[in-house]
Amino acid sequence: MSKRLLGLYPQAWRRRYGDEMAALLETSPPGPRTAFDLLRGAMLAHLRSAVRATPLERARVSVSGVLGCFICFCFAGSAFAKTTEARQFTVAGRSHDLLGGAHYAAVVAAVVAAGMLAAAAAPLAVCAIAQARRTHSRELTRLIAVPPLAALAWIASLGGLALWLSAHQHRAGAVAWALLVLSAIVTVGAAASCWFASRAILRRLTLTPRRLALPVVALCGVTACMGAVALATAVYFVAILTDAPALAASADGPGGWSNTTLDIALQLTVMIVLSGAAALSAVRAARGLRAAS
Amino acid sequence: MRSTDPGLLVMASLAAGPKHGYAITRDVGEIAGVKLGPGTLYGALARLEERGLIEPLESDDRRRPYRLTGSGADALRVQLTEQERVARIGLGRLAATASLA
Repeated sequence: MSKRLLGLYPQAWRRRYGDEMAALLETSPPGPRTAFDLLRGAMLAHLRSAVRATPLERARVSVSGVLGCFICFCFAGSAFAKTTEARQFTVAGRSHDLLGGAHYAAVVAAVVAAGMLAAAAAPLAVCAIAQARRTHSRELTRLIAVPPLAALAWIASLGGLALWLSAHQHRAGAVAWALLVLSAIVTVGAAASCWFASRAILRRLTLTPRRLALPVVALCGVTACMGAVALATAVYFVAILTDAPALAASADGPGGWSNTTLDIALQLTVMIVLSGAAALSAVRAARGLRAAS
Repeated sequence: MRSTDPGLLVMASLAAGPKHGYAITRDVGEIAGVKLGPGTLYGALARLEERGLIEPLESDDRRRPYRLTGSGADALRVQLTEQERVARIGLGRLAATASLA
């Protein structure tokens, strides 16, 4: 356990002190106190390395920060789409311009964000593949393979769930619930794998400020779109409370254990927090890039 | 720097000669009654090394020893002298207050 916690330290730290700390841990009794001490040490080591990082390093870390925020944002966005997918929401959207317009704006901003993310990822992916081929790095090749494999696993799990539900006339049952839980686990796992892999790839890439410029600009666009989705969701939240209060009070979630107002409020809060965090990371990335250029 | 500051304790331990991580932890435990966790110890070692107050020695073992540098010894002397002065004044004032009472 304690040795696993060493993995939380920054890579440069592990290279320098990892062996010594592992040797020390073999002699000290493992326990919650040691674990806490290592956690605290890892956190401080990350803070120190962030403060002391070169501008280009800061830009790289910030790029993966924006990506992490976007991945989490996708969960909140998907939850919002799921909450408002029923026919009565579409009907209400047609009757109330603000409600329909806000929903439409959120969807458009989300699609633009996805396009901008692809624009940010494409040059980095090309650069990573070229470097893996040039250096014959198996580690980099494995990391590059993670996002497509994770996407395949995610599509397979969702496809399996959809096929089962359509074959059984959308009846809820033990197998359907098990598939739903499995699909949720695969989704979270795939998202986390994509983020960790892209972070690890970014750290290993030999990048010049010029090569990082397009991804940073595109990620600034992604951040702006995240803000736009959050704004549109906020407008939708106000509009549904004022224009369609009965719909706002309707049951939501599996088994109707929640309600629409509460769910959209929660989704909106997560979106605002993540948009803010992404904006901070994007500004940091842009500043780091400017300083490095 | 506090008397329980891990950096000060590590330097005080290394004042007796080069030591590796485990030996420093044991020594600090004996001289100050403080148990330095591995994260705290290596955080302090990294800071001190960065400031040039200690330096690592070559070792074939995974357990690399460290020693005080000249500027580390000077910094330690200044810190301990300052603490000694404060302790002397504080104890003197306590004694004076006790005699008045």
